[in-house]
Amino acid sequence: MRIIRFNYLPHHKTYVPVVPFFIKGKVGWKEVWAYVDSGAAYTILSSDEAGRLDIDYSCGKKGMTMVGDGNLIPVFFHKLDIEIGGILFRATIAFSTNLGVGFNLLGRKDIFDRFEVVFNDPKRLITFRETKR
Amino acid sequence: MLKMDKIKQIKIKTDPHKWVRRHFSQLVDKYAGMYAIFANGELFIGKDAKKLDREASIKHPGIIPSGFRIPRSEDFNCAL
Repeated sequence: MRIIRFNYLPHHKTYVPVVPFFIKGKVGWKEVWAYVDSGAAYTILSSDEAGRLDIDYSCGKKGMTMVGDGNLIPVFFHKLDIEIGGILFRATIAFSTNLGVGFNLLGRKDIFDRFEVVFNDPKRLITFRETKR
Repeated sequence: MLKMDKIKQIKIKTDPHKWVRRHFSQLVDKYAGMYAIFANGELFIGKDAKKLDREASIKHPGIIPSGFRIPRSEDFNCAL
């Protein structure tokens, strides 16, 4: 059972749980960074990332997801290989052109059921503990 | 502010993850809304993620580029 730890990213006196992970697209692996968001049902990446991965995001299954102000934004779901801390698995990744926040979001589906995710704000540390499957 | 087609290249000497943690605030203060790609000790900043990634891959073949959109200060106070 592996344990992966990341320090939060600092912006002046604010610290955010943004972590790097790898994702495989049509042009090989890329490393992307995302805000670990336990409130997000699934991982949502900006369509910019689809461009980097050379993936036509609009080919994915279309869905709608609700954002903070109650509005719905379109997302396109793909199943892609990802790697977090050396652990490789397939995960549901949604791409959106309407992600208003400036971070990609690493959400629950396929991530939080593979890892126990612990936010330690006092130590500004996030831990991914691999769970038994 | 960089124009759409401009790419700024900066040499970095440390591990990119460490560099990001040390200089994240500077990136946000100076380049918010733009995209940053790291490859083999070089940082590429611009507006087009795909173009930056391609540039990094051409210049540093065989290296996996790392990148993210540089958030704005207000993104740090969002309710996710």
